[in-house]
Amino acid sequence: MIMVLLLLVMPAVNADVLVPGTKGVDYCFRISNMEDYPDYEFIIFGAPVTGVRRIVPGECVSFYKLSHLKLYALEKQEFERFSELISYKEHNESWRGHADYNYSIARQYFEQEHDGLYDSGLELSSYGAVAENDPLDSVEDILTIKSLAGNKFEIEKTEVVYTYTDGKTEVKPYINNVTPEPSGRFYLPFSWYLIFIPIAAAFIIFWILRKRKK
Amino acid sequence: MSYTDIILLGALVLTILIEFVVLWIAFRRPLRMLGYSALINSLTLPAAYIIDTFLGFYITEVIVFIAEIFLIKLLLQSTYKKAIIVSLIANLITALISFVALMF
Repeated sequence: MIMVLLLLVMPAVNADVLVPGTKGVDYCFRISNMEDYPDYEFIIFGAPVTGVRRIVPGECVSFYKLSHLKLYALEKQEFERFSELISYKEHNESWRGHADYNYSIARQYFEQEHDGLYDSGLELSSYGAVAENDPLDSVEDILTIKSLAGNKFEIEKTEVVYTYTDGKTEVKPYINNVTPEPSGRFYLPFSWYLIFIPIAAAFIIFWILRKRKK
Repeated sequence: MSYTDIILLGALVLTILIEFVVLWIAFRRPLRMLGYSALINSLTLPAAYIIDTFLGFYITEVIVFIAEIFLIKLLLQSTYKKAIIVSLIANLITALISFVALMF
């Protein structure tokens, strides 16, 4: 039982390094109805690495795997003021997700309340790591804005799309904000050819017991 | 061979050796006990690894403990009482060694 216990308590991720025997799962999130709010810009802000990023409609936003992010909405006019304040300058499309800005001023900005700034209260982080034989390949969260008015920004995770290594996808709804488990992901936790060990052992045990009966 | 495979085989060898010592103390006849320990653990350890992904550690441990009682009883032709004691001690020792190994 040594191995089962070892794997149970082994952390999936140790600092920035994946523990051997595990693999990272690609994660991103998408806001399904951003187009319904053309008067707003949507921003993620978090650390480490990710910093400030403006979300483009339709984009599935991926970020550094150890980042913890918060999601904000800014009225267009307030976004202009914010951009000037932190000297925000996006790179071209091929550099999507990269921008120059003053991080410490941005952090101070989000710590205070501002007219036209709406905090969703939602915190986002990546999916983490799974066993290396796990067929789960990527995870996409679908977020839906429920309301954005009168200093209130309500957004919820409504669906999650699991993609497996064979290319199949599965869409599951969030119920009471609980992440649904991916289904149909049976896998041998070791290489298939090692299955001969318990099968051979079972045959030998069976043979010994049968021989004794004779 | 993946890292997980190496862990599986390493843990299997270690568990076979530890449970062999317990069986040897309980039943004597070292060579035969080494063979039985290899057979029992080659069956239960990979199976436990698979069951663990569905039922979790504690239920898997109980299943293995019970399975080993019957295997010891049948293979070593012992009494149920002795089989229960040997299975309990063997599984407790391997679990304890895991905890100690993880502390360092």
